[in-house]
Amino acid sequence: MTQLATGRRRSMPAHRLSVPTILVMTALLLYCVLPFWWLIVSSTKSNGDLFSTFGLWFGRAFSLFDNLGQLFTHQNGIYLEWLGNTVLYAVVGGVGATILATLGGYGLASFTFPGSRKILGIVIVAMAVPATALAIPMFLLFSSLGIVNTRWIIVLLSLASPLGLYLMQVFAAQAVPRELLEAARLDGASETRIFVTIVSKLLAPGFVTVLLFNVVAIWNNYFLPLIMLSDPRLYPLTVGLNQWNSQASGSSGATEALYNLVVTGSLVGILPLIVVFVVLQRYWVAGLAAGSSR
Amino acid sequence: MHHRKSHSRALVGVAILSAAAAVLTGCASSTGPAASDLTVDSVDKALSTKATITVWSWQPGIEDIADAFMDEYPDITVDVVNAGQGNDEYAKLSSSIKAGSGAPDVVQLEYSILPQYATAGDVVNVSAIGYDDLADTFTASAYAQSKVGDDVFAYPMDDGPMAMYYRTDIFDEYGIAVPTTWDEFATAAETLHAADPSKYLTAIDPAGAMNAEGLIGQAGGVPYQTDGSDVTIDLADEGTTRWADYWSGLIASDAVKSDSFWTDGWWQALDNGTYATWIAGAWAPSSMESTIPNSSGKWAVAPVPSWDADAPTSGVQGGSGIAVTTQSENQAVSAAFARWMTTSDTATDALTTDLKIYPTSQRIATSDEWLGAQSEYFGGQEINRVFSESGQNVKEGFQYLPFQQYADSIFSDYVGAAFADKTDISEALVKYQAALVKFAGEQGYTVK
Repeated sequence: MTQLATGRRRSMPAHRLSVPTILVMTALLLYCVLPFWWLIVSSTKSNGDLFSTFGLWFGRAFSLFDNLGQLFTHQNGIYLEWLGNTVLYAVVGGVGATILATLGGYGLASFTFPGSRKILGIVIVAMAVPATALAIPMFLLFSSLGIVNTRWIIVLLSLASPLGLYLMQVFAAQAVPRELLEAARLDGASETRIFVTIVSKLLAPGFVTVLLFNVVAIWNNYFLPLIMLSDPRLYPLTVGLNQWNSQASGSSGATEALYNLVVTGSLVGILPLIVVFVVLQRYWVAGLAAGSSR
Repeated sequence: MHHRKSHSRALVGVAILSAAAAVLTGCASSTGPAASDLTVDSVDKALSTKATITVWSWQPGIEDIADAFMDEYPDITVDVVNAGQGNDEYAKLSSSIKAGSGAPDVVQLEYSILPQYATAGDVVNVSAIGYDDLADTFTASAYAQSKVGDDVFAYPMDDGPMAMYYRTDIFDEYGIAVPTTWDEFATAAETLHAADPSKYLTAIDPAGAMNAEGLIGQAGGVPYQTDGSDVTIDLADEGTTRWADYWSGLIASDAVKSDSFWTDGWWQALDNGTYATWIAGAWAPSSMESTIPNSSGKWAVAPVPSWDADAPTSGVQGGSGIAVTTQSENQAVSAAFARWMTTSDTATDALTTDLKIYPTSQRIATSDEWLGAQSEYFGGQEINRVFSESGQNVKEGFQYLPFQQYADSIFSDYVGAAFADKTDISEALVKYQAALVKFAGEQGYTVK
């Protein structure tokens, strides 16, 4: 805290950006922004224009509103169902996963018990098993339990976030001083009371960081819903848009060219994430810096 | 002391959980498929029973036809689900069959994949329930493709007789006559490419297994034969070799380009005339109309070039039928629905007019209305006549492997690589055959 105060009073020395730095940063900027620009531009094109005009500039006709109209009405408005599903999985799954990761991370960081060091190691190593190897066994296991092809299986499986657990453990180790916990216990507070009133507030920035991370991961998750779901009404956006995309190609016969819907649908699909990021940005940045100021 | 007590308590909890899990998985074992005691009678009666069936089909517009069915037979509820197109659907179908639950009652299957499920006993043999009496209602080509061996396993829904789609403007510009034989096609290819090196008469897809199978069939090749668990694989037979040598020559001389189909670049090339023809099944027009509408009026359809000018033959690429799964608990109702869907006037008219798929109904395929339909995209040409003739000239006898999906998936590793590298296709076929023989052995088939 004192360091920050001194820093503000002293004037910062002027930085000179070198030309190579500017070039590299511009290249990176273009690399990140160009696909997004292409997406915006392509959403304004019809199918015909998509394949006959330059990719990075607008086509002959401005079809954004036509595309949007078609997007929300095609196939009885299934896009809105997909969007709703994605929001459900991401919010419920994300919040749930973050709560579990917080509880787990706090427990692993602040308590010593047999296996406390090994558990995290095992979880991290288990992450190395490729998802494709587990796909069929998981499907068969949950099929025998009768819960495949439901919304709950996606939420249930999204609750397991090994990376979130690791991040929270690291954050809790830094943000929650043992002395504080000892003092609270001496004062007679129960573990639950300590967690709810003291620790949760200390972990708030980390919580939001992990929440953002989990929400994005679940929003973009393709493989899990692909294997577990076969009813298109339960699909999230990733699987749904891919299905539309493959309707336009096929070795034995294409049925519908939905390219304009896939592109417009992709654009609409990332807008909520952008909003979430912008709104929660200050917590995220604070979370990153929180550990360093101690 | 405090945590030692909870430690042992936790261990007990874990033990209980794992025991419970073991019991649960043991209890929920998969039940075997329902016994098939279907008769024509039971199928007819099924139309007045109360039941709900699930149909997996990727054909857009099927829901409307299902609605019409439900209007006519109000006791039956039909739930149409689009579980993916082609391989996506088959992956889900295979895992549901393996898991013992979750498979639909009625499923859309391409003819090339039908043997795979038929020989595994996953779809119902419908020959016994009066299907053979319906033979005359279907076109010969469709009927032949719904058979595996002597029995029929699917009701044909659409068909894919091949045709050659060509750019009239390019042909006129370079003075190329529409080729009717493969020799003429080769000459035309060389002429076009010599006149304009940026253009090719056609492109060939390294992942185009089904296109290759169609053309091999046209050349008289019968590389695969299945008889129960005996499989014969001979990719060096006369017809297949004829196909291989022909395309090896064309690709090596640069007159034909190897390019991945269904990509952005390939659609653009078709649109701007880089590729002057596209040899594909009869399903291509609707795809072209919606994806590359800008070249409307510049295309026309001609029969696939033939090997023998006096005896033209054709091939098939794609086409699918609907089958009843053996896992279904409503087989009679499902069979009734599948039959209605492919034979009733209401359904077949809707399939052709609204869904615009190629008819398998003999009634429609011979009607003046369908034959005389003019296509604006193809410059007002009566394109159905070309397809109809192609369908009648399909060289019969081509068979698929019981693991055709696997064979198609490794096609690009062997044969597709030969397209791309411009090497001899026959040599690649030898290696492809070896890989297929190895797989067949591993899967328990006897390879002759």
